[in-house]
Amino acid sequence: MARTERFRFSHTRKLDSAFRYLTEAADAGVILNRAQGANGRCVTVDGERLKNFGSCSYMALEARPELRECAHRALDEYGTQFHFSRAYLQCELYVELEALLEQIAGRPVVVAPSTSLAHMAALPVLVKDNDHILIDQLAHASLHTAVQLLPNVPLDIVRHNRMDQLDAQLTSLRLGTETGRGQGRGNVWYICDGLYSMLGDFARFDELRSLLDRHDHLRLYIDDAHSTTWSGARGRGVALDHFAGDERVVVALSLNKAFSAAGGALALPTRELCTRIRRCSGPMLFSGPIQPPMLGAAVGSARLHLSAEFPQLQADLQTRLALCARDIGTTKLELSTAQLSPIFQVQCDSPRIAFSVADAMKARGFYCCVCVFPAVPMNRPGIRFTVTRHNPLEDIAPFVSAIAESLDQARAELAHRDDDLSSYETAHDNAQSP
Amino acid sequence: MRCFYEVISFKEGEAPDWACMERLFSRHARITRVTPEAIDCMDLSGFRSMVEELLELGAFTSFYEREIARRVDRFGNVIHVASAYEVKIAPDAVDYLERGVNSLQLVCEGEAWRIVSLCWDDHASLNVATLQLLDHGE
Repeated sequence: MARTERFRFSHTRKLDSAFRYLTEAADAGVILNRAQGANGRCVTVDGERLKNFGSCSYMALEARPELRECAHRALDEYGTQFHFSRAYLQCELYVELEALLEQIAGRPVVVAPSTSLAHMAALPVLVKDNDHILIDQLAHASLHTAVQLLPNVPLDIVRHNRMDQLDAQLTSLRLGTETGRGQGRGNVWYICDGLYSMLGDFARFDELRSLLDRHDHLRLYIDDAHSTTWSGARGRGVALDHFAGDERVVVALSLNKAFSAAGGALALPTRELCTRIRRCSGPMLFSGPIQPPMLGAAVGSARLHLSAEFPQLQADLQTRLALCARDIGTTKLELSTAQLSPIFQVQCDSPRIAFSVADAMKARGFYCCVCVFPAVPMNRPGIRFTVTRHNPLEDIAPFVSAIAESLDQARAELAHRDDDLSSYETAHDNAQSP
Repeated sequence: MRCFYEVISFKEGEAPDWACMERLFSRHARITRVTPEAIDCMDLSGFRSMVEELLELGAFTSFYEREIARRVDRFGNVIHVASAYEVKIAPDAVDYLERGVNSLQLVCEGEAWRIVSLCWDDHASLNVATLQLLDHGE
């Protein structure tokens, strides 16, 4: 059975709508900005030097000598590119990188040109004709794109982190199979993020563990790109800390972001699956390889992950996160989640307020990002900021104070605007029926 | 009208009250949504399908809409209501997400007034002058 035809908004219409919302944000000057110079404690945005609370370099590894020296060495040895499809010939740095990543992940690993291409490589191989896909509505856009490669597999969207709905659907799909109304004896793949990149909340790992125990047809595919490096043993991320030993779980990692190199990686339960994905998937056969300098950087980063020094680097970040959470606790700021990660979302009443706060923060010398629809639901506009090892401890309290003051100021200004219609609140109360 | 705004609003993780909405609308009702990209012409079932798609896509995870002002014109067993609204993330939010005017037609179907037409422009601007125009109605 083909998937249910539930979407009535056309592809073009969704694109037009996204273009409109992004244009509003671009016109407000809060996205599509230009940086000059390197990312670090400060970032220069459109000529203004700002303290940087927007980077995904959670561990600040991109300037480490271990990575830069490996990148330089690879550049000297191979030049800027190794001009072969991996189907024919792969640069030997791939072999070294995958071996190091296996030590980090604690299971077999295949490297892909990016995390998005890793999804596009893995999902068509993992998901069979008689399987069923359930995907979290707020899973990363690259996952929603990748499942479109499986048009003949039934797909349902699960509301964000609703384990009760997932449980009910797993039960229903099992019952459907038993009564002959289902799709045969297929598996059900639940696809989600390990750490959601906008709201900063985690997948419900403990409940997923319980569901795996109760539903033997459940399989998990977790995009843990934003947890890689800063969390988990050896930086393997929070999902692998929970599921590395489970044969029914596949985890995708990022070699960008905190890893500070390039590419993505699939941590797979068996070597046979690695071989199958290497041999059967388009991105592994046809896509261009990671450029040697970045493969070199990835090797350098992987070695650093396995070094004795690495747990202290993770602890350094945790110190900053705890400090930031403590400082936020002294303000009226509302976060989208109480869970601690380098991603914080401060909720705002509207995109207008988020834009105003981002502007005010620039004026105060800080860079942070807005997150509005379509990156988040329309009812969850906010300011997204990150805390990284680039941020010295002494910058965190002033940043938190500045964001609290900017938000108060933006709310106060809007509450007293000229077009305030609050005086009409009671006008209808005395109106006649209906 | 209070019931109309209550049934389309819903809390985090919930959904509109479809059963109540079916009682508010005539089974012949048409619902028309105007957006910058297209005009959606639907019956109640189509409207439900659209809202459920928006929910699944994560466009909204909760919804709060309230009436700001209203003008009611009655012509026998037909009533036209121009109902100014605003959408907010929560009742206590200081700013709104969208404002506009819901244009509704109701007919008396024997025992009750029911909505036979609901039409609104998702991106119409709404200002004090528009509201004053509404308030000068009946």
